[in-house]
Amino acid sequence: MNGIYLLKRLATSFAAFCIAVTIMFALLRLMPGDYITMYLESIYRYAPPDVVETFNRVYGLDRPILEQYFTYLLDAFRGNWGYSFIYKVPVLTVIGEKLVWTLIILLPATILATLAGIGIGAYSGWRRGSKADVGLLNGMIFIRAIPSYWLALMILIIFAYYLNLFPLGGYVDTSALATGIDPFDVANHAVLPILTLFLFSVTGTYYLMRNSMLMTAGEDYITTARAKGLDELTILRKHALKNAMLPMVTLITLECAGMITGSIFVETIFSWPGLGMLTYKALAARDLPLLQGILLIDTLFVIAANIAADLIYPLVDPRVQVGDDA
Amino acid sequence: MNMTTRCLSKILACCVLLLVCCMPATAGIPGDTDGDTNISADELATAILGYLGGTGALTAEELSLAAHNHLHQPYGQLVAAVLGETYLIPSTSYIDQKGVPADSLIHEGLVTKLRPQDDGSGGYLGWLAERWEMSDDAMSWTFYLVKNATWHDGTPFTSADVQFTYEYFRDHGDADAPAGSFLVNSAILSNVASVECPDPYTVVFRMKSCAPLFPETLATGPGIGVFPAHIWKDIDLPSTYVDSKQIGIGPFAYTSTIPGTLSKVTAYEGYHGEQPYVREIVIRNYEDEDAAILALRRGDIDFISGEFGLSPRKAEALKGAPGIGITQIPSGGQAFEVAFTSDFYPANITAFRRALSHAVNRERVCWLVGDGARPTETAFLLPALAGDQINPATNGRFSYDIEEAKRQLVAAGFNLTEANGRPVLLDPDGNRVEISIPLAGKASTNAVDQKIVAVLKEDWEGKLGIRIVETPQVDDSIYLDWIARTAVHFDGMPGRWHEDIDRLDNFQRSPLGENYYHFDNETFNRLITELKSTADPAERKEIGFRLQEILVEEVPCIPVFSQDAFMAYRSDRFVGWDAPLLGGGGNIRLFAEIRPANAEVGLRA
Repeated sequence: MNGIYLLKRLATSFAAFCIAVTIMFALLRLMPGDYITMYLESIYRYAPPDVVETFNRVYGLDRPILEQYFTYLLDAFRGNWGYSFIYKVPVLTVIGEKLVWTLIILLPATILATLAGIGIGAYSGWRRGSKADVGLLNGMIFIRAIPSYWLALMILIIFAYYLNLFPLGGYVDTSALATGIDPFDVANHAVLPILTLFLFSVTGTYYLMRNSMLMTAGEDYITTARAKGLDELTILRKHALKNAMLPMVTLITLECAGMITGSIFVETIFSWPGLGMLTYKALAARDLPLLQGILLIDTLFVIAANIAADLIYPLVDPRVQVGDDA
Repeated sequence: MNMTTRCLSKILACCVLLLVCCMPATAGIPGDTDGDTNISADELATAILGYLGGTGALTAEELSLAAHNHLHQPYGQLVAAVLGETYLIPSTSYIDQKGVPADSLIHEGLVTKLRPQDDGSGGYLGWLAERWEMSDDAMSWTFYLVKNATWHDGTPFTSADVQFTYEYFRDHGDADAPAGSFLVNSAILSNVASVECPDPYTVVFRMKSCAPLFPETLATGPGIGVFPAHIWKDIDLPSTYVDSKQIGIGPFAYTSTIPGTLSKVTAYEGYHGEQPYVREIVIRNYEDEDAAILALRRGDIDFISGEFGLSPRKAEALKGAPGIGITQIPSGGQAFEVAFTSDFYPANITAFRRALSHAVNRERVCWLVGDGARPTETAFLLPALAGDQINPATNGRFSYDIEEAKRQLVAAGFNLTEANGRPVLLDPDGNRVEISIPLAGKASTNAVDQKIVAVLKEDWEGKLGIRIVETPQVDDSIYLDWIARTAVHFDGMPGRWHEDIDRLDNFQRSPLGENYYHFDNETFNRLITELKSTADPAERKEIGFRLQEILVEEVPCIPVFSQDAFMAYRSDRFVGWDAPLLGGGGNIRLFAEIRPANAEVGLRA
């Protein structure tokens, strides 16, 4: 890989970002309904036209669409993402608050699910047809089939309510109001959401790794390695796993990007203030600045994940080269 | 009875006894021997002497609780669950939020509204206003303010704060206001021409037009909180101002917040009114009602709040749970109706609407919905709330009578035939009558609209031959568009929208545009305008009766049922819930009346 390729990659990513932002801007404005009308109708049962008109004028929503677009684009690059209609604070402030809490549960869950999925999937694929493989496969199918909302609720009821091992919601105890936020308290509150997210995610990683391992295990070089007298563990570690890992790189990077969207089900059941619930509320209320901000963050993360995947591939498999003429 | 049976019986009896002993029952206040939730001087003396002599039943903590009760000193901490983050104390300006003061513990307005009671009491309760007077023509209102009120920072409250509040709303509803300074709810006081302060404790509102129910405007959601002039006079951008101190004037002062999950308020010692019995209120956010109920059962929280409380089925499941009490507030929830779009075929035929008013099986709908559903056959106003404002001549005019519905359809020129053994209704032109019913909005709460549809299908399709083509679930943002092009839809407004004859303006076609029913009756419109400019109670009542008669004749909607509101709380920790919950008047009044009954709550604070 050389610097020119990197520059080209960044340039195309920038173009992709601009296109994504434009499409997002257009799609959000094509949605029926608007914040102020829906808000007023929920209170007064009608929206006084003069109030709607004033609101639109004050927030620039009555300007020509192109003017709104360019203003939005320029402000986005300048870091001015506007004010949330619902929360009435800067969009970046709201997103920043929620993003932290989203990452607290999603980062560990994603890492654990990735590691466990790869490990279990690799073992399962390597031992295809064995009792362990059959058991694991059926177990994962079972977990996958459970509706996520129901699973989260059952985990809450069993571990928090009946066994009384964990809190029933939120991210801190009421004592935090007096003593401040205790990281151990947060960790205690995060266990069940992380467990739930782990169970949601591990099955997908498992399936992909298992399938990848099945294909790798049938390759000629694996047979050659056995013929040379290498033990199974060495063959698995030094030959099979590395080759089976390649498809996982893309999955892992995209999962890392996707995790910032949060999980609305988990956040609802465990009352965890994350980006998933924030996105839902912003969408329901048509809080355009907030929605735009969230989607901007999502876009940036996905683009960064794709670039990261490109950079990681050659490290995993030296045969893969990007940016060279060869 | 043989040995085995005798043994089993004894074991069972022991188990029952053990269970009863272990079950936390509804508590009384320690030391309260007569059960009136007040510790008298004698009761306290008895408790103290018993404790000092080592013969009393109270622990040190319980004695402390009893003493606090007797001295009316705030004690302990109550943890309340709110469903949804928006009910937490906002970190932004509260002045443009919905529902202040009813949803606030920190801020107060001039008055709040109480629920009408069976004995005719109710009306308004003064908060910052001790009493108030209306001029004969209802063009001015004079409020006499409390004299000992102070803001939470100690600054005295005067009429200048009330005047400032009005002027602040007026000035920040300006069409040219910059972003961040425009207050959406500035329209609330649009009928006020000016506010005068003849002295520091008197404020006079001069109205632009007759306003016989001006306290209603000030009291119900969104209400108007009074906010401190000495703080807000320097704030030019209220919509984006982050109020970190939340200086209010209510019985509780803001203490701290953990964003997105917890807030705490503490009893304000300088409060002008009756001190609360609870020292601290912690508000915890739950996004899921089930999680909040589990927390209540486990004892993590003491009270579940919310606009309509718990869903009826869940409240039903909680009844009888140890240590948990439920208050059922008649018609405190939503009121549901089958509504017509009166300018869309076939709902534009008055006789058609009138006929269908006899084809809604309310009892069956209420059975499906569950506990707390009360069938309604009055013209829009709810009996539990509107009292003597309901025209008795309009009662029972929407009785369920399929044969009467058929008779009226035939009389209107419709033809009820059969095809393949199923009834088919043909209109006067010989076309099959088909309707669509969109599902969305407030009627979708707890899937009530789906239950109504299921019952309507039994009668409208099964007996009257009206084909219900589709019942699409639509997004709220396009619900109005759907209403405009379908004959029938459902509505589920809060019960308080059905408590007063002034609310009948829901059916008025005003200069502001269509009402939800596209109902446009000249006489009705004129009477509403007349009502709004009439101050005399007897004349207003007479107009209200005539309006209701028009509604039962024209049938823009068919009332189905009203839902009771269910509030759940820990009865083993706090007592005195029912009266304030049933009385209404907002959270402030609630926490002035409920009293700690378990010393455990004192250990939290």
